[in-house]
Amino acid sequence: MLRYIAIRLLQLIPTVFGIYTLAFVLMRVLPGDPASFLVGARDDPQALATLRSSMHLDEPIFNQYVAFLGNALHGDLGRSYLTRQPVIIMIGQAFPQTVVLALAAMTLAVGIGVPLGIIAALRKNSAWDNLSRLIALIGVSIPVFGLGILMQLLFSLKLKWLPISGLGFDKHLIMPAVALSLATLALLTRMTRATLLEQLGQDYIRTAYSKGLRERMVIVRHALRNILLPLVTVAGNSTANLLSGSLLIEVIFNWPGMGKLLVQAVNTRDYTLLQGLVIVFALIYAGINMLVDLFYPLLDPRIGHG
Amino acid sequence: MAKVMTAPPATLSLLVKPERESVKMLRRLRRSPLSVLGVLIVGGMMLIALFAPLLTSYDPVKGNISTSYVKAPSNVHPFGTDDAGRDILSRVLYGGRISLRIAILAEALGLSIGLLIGLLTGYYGGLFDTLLMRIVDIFMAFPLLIIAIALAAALGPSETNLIITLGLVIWPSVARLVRSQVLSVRESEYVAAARTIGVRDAGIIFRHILPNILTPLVVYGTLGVANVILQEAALSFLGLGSPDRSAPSWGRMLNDSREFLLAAPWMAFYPGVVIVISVLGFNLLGDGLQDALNIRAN
Repeated sequence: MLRYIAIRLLQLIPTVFGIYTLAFVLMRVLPGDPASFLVGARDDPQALATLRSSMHLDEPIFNQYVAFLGNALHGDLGRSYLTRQPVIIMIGQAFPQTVVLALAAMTLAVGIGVPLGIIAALRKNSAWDNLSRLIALIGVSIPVFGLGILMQLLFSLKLKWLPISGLGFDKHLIMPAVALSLATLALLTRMTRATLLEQLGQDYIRTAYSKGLRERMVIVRHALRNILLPLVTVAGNSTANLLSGSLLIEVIFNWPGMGKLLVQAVNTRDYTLLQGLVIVFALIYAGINMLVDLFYPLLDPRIGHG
Repeated sequence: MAKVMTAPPATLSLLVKPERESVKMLRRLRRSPLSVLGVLIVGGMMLIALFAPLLTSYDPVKGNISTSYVKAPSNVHPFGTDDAGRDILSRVLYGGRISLRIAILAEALGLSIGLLIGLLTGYYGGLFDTLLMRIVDIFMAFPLLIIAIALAAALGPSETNLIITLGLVIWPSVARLVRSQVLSVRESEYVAAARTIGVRDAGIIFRHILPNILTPLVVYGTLGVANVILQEAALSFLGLGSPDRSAPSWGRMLNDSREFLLAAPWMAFYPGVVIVISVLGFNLLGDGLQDALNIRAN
């Protein structure tokens, strides 16, 4: 068990290294170099040279890479080209808003998707089952930003029930969270239904019934335990969707999180900020995937003893 | 046409010419109404994009000055007009050309790179394999859209760059899928047989291994197109698509519509609807193919 955790933690090192490297490479394939963007159209070779040396852009690329890695490893992601603020501070300010939004969406997805999937599997071809199919279909087909805009049209402009955009941990949160959750909700519903149906055909379920256990006991004590593992995996993997989706949702609903900051960095060509955000997004994603892996032995004792 | 066929008695089956796999597959595809719907949607979208100039008399780029500014849907303009007085129906029709072209070319690019790398790494293994699989791991450590945004921002906005960006985002998962297939096929007897009669590596890879791993790729590619349409729309929506005003993709139209949400909701509605329908079509087709080919691609 401890060995399993240790191995899994060690595996994170090359991933983190890779994330930093790819982010660095990405920012170096940019046409021109960052300094020329800052100096802009003034075309002043003197100023450009000064700026280049202050940004260490005149050093060999390998030295730049080592310096970048060194700084990044202790959390220094450089300063924004635009505001001159440390990138890590700017990201830190946006981070909580994104977390709240993602958590709200995940709560909705799990809280509705899993029970709906269970009902759909138990009452196959019932109205609930058809509802679950409908949600699954909508969830994979409607782009998250399309849904966001549709909701704004309906609930803010037509019905005037909810504020159209802006930050607030009250009814401002409802639309962004619902729009963001739908894809994950659809996936979880589908997975819950499929895996539960598979389990219900197993021998141990028949045994449980033939012992005279009531349905509730059979489902809760036996079947559900065995679908936890795939569900946690899917939920973990959906974090990528949630992060990508939050980006678009934050733009549409004017929600000042990391996604909005990323789009802002792209639009203002603030490449240090962009680089920092790409790294932070990837680290969050890698971290969550690792947490999911660490959960496995708790959910299924067979894992981690091999 | 053919009645539902059950397996003929063993003695008889020797006399019946075996059906080609592709015919069998088509028959199975036809049996599911949802798959048929998928075929119809995808086929319909392609035809509409192809024949866009015949289907509308309005220019998708040049607006009508006299009707400039948004007009609600009417008999003259069934989908309304946008802020420059351009007919939205014709923009949606022409936009299909761009959105579908980008999606299909990007998926083809991603599949080709992934296929080649998957075949080579799976077949040869060794250091080359280890190295490339680590690169795949790194790519897959990023949420797709994030890396696509970073790439698109780095390359600069243009249609070609958009296709390259999306292709670069797609290949790692394809490479991983193909590699795993190659690993299982590589040890089979017909590959060993080919090797003993002196077929060269290239011949083994392309003549013997490739045809046997194509089936899951067909499904993967079809479902992939649905995903790329969404990714493309997302990138264009964020302003990272083609900057060419004369070539509006659906995502781009959605982006343009945002300022006019209150004044002209139809500007957002129709491009949104066609995105949903085409994504749905490719998803249904992909699911149908998967059932028809009787495989479980994950």
